[in-house]
Amino acid sequence: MAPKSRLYWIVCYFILALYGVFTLLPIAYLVVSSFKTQLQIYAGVSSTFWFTPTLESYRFIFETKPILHMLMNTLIVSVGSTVFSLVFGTIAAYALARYRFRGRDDLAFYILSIRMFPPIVAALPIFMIFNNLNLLDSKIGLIIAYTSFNLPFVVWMMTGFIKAVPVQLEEAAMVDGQSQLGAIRDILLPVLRPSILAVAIFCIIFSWNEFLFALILTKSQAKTLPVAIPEFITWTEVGWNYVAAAGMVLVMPVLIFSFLAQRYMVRGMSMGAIKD
Amino acid sequence: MASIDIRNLRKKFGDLEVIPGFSLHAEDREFISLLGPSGCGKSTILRIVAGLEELTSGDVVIAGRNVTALEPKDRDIAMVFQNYALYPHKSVFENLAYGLRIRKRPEDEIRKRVTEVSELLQIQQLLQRRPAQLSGGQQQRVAMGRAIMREPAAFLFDEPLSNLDAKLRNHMRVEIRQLQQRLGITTLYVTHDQVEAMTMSDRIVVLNHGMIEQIGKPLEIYETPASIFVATFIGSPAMNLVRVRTDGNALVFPSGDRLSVERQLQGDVVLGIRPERIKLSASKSENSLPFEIVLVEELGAQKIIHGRIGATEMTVAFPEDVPLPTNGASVSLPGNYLHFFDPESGKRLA
Repeated sequence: MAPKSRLYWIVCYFILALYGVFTLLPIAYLVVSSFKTQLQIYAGVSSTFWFTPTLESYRFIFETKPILHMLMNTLIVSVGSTVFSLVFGTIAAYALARYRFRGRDDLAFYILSIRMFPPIVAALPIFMIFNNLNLLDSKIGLIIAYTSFNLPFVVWMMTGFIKAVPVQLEEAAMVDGQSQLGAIRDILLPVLRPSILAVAIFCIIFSWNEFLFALILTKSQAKTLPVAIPEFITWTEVGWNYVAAAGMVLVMPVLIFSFLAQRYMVRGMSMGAIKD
Repeated sequence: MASIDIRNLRKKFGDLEVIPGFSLHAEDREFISLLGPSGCGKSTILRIVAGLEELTSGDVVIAGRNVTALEPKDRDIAMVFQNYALYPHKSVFENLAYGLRIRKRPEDEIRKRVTEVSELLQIQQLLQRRPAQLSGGQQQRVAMGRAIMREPAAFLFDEPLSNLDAKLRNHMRVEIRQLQQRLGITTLYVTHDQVEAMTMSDRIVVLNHGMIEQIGKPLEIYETPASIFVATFIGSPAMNLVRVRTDGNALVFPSGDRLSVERQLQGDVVLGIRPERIKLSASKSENSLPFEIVLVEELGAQKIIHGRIGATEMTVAFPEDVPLPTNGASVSLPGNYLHFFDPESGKRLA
């Protein structure tokens, strides 16, 4: 292949830079808005990036709402649903990847199809069921709801990952003297660790960002942060600076987490792409 | 004493019967190859012996113990897989040690044994590496090492050399055989490579569609193949097979050429003769047939000559150092090297 010309690279980088601006601008806007007063927000384009920063919005949101409590709820629900989804999803994926049984492929597709229908369709039935089971406004209820949405994704991804690991590794362990469960624990799971991490990251981000179910199924005790943010827009004022500050509180942990774990995320996405 | 007894083994996948009844007795210390084309059921048999595949009916007895209902871990066997199946997240040391660790052996015993085995296989310098950092040959050695760590009652090999290049394959062939003889462990070895089966085995089991075509010592199988299938599967280049008509003591070729033999045969038969047994010469003698040379393949040690008797194609293996007849070659087919098969059943005619 001939080396690419200088012009090629200039055009390439120009397009990439444009895309970078396109994706980063909203975040940059969020960051600066969170350090502004309400007045500065409405001051016009010229002062978008030129203003005296203030922590006033952060002080306000922490004083008026139980932000830390809701952040904690978000964390517990995200991690909880991720753990449940991974445990049950990986077990199901193992069966789909390793055993031949009648209707296996149909079952795999059926599981995936759960992911395809709009969550709002399930919202009302889940609300009614949770009402009967006394699960409304409870963290465990939200964990169950998120698990039901994360599970198909975990099953689908993990089936691909497990299929990619030669079954002979487990068989070798069994011949070496290990039980099947022991072979899974000693050999398969350690080999799958990067894949499990990648899937876990996607689950956590889904639950972290989830809005619809959190809105419908929680009221105060189990309320998560995404639901609280729009509440800064009221009949009397539109507090964009508060929305931005609360948004920052929500985004920052997951941003830092994703930055640290990006290696695994790329692996997760590319592995999914070349799966047979 | 660790003999292996496989009795009336049958295996069905759904309605498909892949092994319709297989029995084999391997003596203590014996090296037996299961040889056959892909899909003949040889790997399935090995996996059933290992306990990795369930059988439909039959028994597997290892060292006098019926292991049919036992898990692989309780069968006291070791297996080498085609892809070696080394644990990718463990070092070579830990790969070797794994079997003993499961059995909770003391650390100093594990170290001692790993040292012994790694010295035996000359992989001492690789102990700290991961499998991904090893060449194919080194991985093969580690896989062998893992198999001999526990001194099992039986070795099971599933095409262990087919991922290696030709040179390394020849080398490892010798090494595996030497190791097996030294350790004296009863071995079942699955391969589709007739050279491996011929050179390594005490006995060969030739399989076709899950059925035994022939069991015998390598030379027995080479000299007296029980069927057309065995005759073509063993030997390279493959045995020449010609359907001929019999007329008293004479075989009549499709070309009309006649060859007199000492045996009385009836009707049509399939005549077989190995390329290396055919005598090619310039002069026409009694009972020789005219031979037209079509193509010569130079292999270095010998020439493979493709030619025709009339319209019948024949392959002749010819020593390299003898000059080829230039015009008017003829072949003679020595009577004691002729094989006769039934054209319908493909079985050898007694």
